[in-house]
Amino acid sequence: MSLWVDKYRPNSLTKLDYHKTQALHLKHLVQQGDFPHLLVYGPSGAGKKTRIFCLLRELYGPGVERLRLEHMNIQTPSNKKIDITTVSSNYHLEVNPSDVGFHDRVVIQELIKTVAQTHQLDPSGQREFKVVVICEADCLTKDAQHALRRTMEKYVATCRIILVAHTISRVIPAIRSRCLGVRVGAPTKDEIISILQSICRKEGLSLPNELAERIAMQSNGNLRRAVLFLETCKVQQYPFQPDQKVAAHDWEIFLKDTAKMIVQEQSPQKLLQIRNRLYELMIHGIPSEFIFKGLLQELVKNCDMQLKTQVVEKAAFFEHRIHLGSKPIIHLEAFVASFMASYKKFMEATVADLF
Amino acid sequence: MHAFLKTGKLSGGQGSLSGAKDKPGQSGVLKKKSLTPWVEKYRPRTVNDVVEQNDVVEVMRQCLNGADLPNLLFYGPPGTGKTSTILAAARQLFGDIYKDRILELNASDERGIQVIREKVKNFAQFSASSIRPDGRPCPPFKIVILDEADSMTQAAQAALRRTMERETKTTRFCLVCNYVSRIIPPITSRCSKFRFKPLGNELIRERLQLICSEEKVSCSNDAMNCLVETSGGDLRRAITCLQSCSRLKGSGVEICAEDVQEVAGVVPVELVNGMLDVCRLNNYEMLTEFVDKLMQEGYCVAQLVEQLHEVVVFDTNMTDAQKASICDRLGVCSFRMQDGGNEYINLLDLGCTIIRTMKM
Amino acid sequence: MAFKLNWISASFDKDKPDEVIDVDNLRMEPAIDEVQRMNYSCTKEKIMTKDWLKEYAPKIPSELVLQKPKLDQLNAWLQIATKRVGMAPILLITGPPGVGKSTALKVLAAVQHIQLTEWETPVDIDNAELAGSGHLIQSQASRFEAFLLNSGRYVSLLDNGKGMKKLILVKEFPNVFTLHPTQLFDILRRYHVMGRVPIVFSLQEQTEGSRGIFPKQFLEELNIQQISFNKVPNKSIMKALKRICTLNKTFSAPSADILEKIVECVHGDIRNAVLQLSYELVQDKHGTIKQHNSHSVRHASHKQKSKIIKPSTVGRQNSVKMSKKQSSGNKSSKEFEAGGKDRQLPIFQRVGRLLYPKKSQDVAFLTHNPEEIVDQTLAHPGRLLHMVLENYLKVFRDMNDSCRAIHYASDADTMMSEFRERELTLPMALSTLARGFMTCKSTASRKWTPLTNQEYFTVRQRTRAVREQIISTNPKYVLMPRDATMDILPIIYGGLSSRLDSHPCEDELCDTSDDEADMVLLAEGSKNLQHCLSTVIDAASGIQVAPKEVVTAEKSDADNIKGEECMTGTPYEIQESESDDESKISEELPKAWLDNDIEFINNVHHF
Repeated sequence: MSLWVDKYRPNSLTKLDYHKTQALHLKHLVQQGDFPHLLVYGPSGAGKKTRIFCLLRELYGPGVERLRLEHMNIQTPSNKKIDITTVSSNYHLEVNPSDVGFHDRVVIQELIKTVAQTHQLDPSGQREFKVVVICEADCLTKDAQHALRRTMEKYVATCRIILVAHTISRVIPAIRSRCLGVRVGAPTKDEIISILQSICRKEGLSLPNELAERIAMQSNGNLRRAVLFLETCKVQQYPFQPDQKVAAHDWEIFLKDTAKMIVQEQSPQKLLQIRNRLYELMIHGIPSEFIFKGLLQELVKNCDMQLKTQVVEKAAFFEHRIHLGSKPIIHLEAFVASFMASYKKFMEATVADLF
Repeated sequence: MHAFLKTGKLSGGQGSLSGAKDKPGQSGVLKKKSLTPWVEKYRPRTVNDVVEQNDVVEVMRQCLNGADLPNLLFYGPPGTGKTSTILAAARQLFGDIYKDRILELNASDERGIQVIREKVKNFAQFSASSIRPDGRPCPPFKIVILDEADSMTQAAQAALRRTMERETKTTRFCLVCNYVSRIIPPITSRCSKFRFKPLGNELIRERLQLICSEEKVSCSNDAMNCLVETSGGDLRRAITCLQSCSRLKGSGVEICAEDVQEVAGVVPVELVNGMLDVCRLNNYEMLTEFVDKLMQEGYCVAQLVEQLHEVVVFDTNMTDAQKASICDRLGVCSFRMQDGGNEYINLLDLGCTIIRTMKM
Repeated sequence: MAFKLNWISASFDKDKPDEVIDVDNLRMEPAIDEVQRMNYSCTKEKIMTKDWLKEYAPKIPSELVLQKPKLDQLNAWLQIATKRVGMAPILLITGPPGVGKSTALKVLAAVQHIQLTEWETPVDIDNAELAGSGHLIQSQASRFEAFLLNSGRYVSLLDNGKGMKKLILVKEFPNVFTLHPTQLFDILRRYHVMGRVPIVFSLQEQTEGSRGIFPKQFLEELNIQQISFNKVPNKSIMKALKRICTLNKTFSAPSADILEKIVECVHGDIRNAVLQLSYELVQDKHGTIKQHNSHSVRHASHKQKSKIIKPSTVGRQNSVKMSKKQSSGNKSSKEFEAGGKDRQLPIFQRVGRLLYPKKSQDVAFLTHNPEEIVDQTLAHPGRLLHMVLENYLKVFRDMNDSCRAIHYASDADTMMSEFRERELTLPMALSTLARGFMTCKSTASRKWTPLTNQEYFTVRQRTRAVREQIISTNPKYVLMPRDATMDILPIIYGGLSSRLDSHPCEDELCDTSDDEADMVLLAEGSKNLQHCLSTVIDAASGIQVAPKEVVTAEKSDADNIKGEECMTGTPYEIQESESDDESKISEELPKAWLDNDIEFINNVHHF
């Protein structure tokens, strides 16, 4: 028994619930015994990892399901030891180099080198190459991406690379052109609903369609989130009620509240409180770009068109700054401060117009 | 078999370097012929096969007839046949021994100053005879091909300058790059420069159709148009794309336009125009809805921005001032996203700017 | 250029045989140097003839201020090491600067009749640089090796006590070894086999294993013993100072009050304490020429610490301080700051200056030059930024001002992160920061608010803790921390608010009842969920966890806790005198920054 997300994850290309033609294409690709480096991209919760896993299973058989968690020690040229966690089977290895900040270049080179140089020991191994799955490839530094490009070509005989990215805007063209891009779009609302229904059938539950619909709405195209919501609902209350509450994630609520606080009062003191809240969000691993997005979505609600464009412009400006600078909190705070300043002016002007 | 992977520059790997590297996969190639990259398979064999690039073909022809070969600098957009030309020429010049006579260094190799000096030195050390093993005459020099020369550092280029002069007796250099402006003047002045023009749509279509019939791939007319359009004059990209499509679809199934778009990573035209249409509505909520949808589909926003630029520039309804202001923001957003900026926020920003300019 | 400067300093050296003039100082602050030269003649006899440090250095073991057990340890090692034949033993002494590591060694060695030979890094760097760095690396490393081997072999001509036992003391390495420590290791390995004379390395700090030049395995490999000294306790310093006072005949003993204050502000640095004392006493005696004296004494003290303090600013700072002192005449502990350990306190002062800028009568100009304030700040620039950021909102009253100010901070951060042109951008960033903040405030509020230390580090610590949590939840999610923190964790571990129990954040919202209800619901729901999942999580996806994982996780957990203890709850005020707790932090944080910096630089090298 495990989370439903894991329990009902399809494990073969034929069992995938949506993007069926794409699944078929992938099957074609693998059937010829070989495939190019892949770049799988799409929003989170759309099933990128699931597809990759299915692909690997198609390629290597059920052996890929025996996973091990390992810690690797890699030494940088500056003699700093880096610990990195990898998940691997006999045939493939998953790694998230963005964990190690700007050392990712070394990690990637070393890892792929080790993988590529150790040939398959198992004589019955059907393939003469191993697969390295690199998660969050869009978070790699430019330096690492360039290194990856070279590494990709160098070890092409013994190693295939699958890159997983949320967006490929950040992946350098040289890598894009060397990979076959596989776009995994989010499932539509109807697809999510049917998946939720089928899970409930398998669990022996009955799910009112209205609830399924609301869960699908709430999940915003993120299937993982939808299934998690469903499971939470089940724990909260069963049998399901059509009008049952679907609770958003706590951090989303927290973020919304923060936005409300910003709109309520604009003063340096309030800003201080806001900062503490932003810190809380960051501590809990919410990436700053999501904080930006969430704040933006909430803040513009109370503005007129002109102010909206202003706010969006500011958000884009400061969000960019996060990537240039090294301390996200400063830029987040700068955005909030500039919103506060212009909103205050806006409100004062509106009040003045009234009289 | 893995050779399929080698899209892009690596496909130039006829050279001695990548040739050696390919060996482990050779057996696979024998097993499944169809997996050789078509870019390799359909590379021009002779100089005369090279299309569109008349100037350089003329020079090459003269050289084949016994004239001396100058140092060469080929520049132009990717996929226009720069590497193909020099390889074809080398093959014709040297015949079977051409592999011994050329040294190809591309950006994927370590290319520090030291490495280049050493490799070139070792390579140029032995003078080349003017007779082939089979007794026929051939030019008494070797050719060093430096692919992607514009990605070399200034220092490395400066070092190259001296090497070029020193080895001039036995060696000719051929530098291949996309942007001639990134090559330092001392080098450009030592080479005869040739600009490679982007290939015309008709030529690309011809070539693709040839490949389709050779490989027995059925490709719908729409798909062909789409291939030609998305290639933007880059023949290699078009061919690689065609091959990827045919592999994904499996043999015997007709390739349609959507497949091509998917593989090429192009954002559908409806969405690009949809962006402008939604901005014309002057409604922020509609804009966010549109952007949300786009993000969920997972399209590459950088690509969208690029295509949007095309559409905006050739739009007939907008004033020049409007175009300028939109293009300005397109540039800014594209720059931000290069640095890792959030796609959603930047796209919104772009949308807001367009809304504002539409009202002008 | 380099030669010319050398020549100048050389000529000055002739003038003043026992004081080395800092070349930088000479170039940047000619005026002050001029003053010093003029005053030099009148103060020379009185101060410079007596080097207090040398004069009052402990002569017998009982005078040493270090902890008894450590001294015994050292003594024991010396005895064993010098008797031993065969492999040359190596000892590593570590401790903060100025606790008397070398002094202790010298005293103990003298007692046991051991002759000390000290390695001095040759300083012909100017020439070597011209000759090319490759040559330099080779020569310095090989010279070091030759020194080690030779010093044991040859007997000094001056050494009349035949067969005296020998000991090599190494206090600094050629720079080569900090860049390529393996070279050093190789030399030592060879020496370990071939050499006979014991070596003692006396280094500033070596925390457990990772930091410092020697890795743990190496220490074990060559069987290197390590003795680390702690800071000298205040009591011992007091004792030592009193001893000096009684020995000293020239000056009348200072009041206990002054001694206490000296002890307080030196943070366990005995060398500094002695210097402070000499300064105080001289000043009392020659009240009339106080100001001039101070320059020379400061200069002497600054010679000791020239690594830390920028020469040009110290001079200026002192003159400002002294004038103030003369007018007020009272000596609060604050007066010691400049000469004392200026690490933590000044940064609060600087931040105070930035946030409460003084304007001269002519409003257009600031009293303090922003660049100067920045220069005077000894901490890592990033820390200054954080400190300012942490505190500005408590001072600013107007929203527009704050908005402008934080905008400047954002600019500064962006510039600071541009490491490729670091030399250019860093001063610009700091200048932007300082000027921005000093000019932003339109309403002058003089209300005094306590400044607080940065929270950033606590935040980082806790972020790491959350990451650990992810790993413990389900190893598979290690690879997708983003998805895990955003989707999985909230479901498994109750609401954010319940996760944040220990850190209350102000919820003053009245119109969020709906959402709150949501949260309660969710929290309850997930509690149940958590219950039924708790048994499952480990086995969640059938991943085998390598046993090593447990070890590392535990270790880092422990580290976290340790770190957090150090970090939490230390509000500071501008005028607050320092507590022990604080000094601990002041030691810890800069080093963390330094580490980052080094990594940074290393990284840059790879470009």
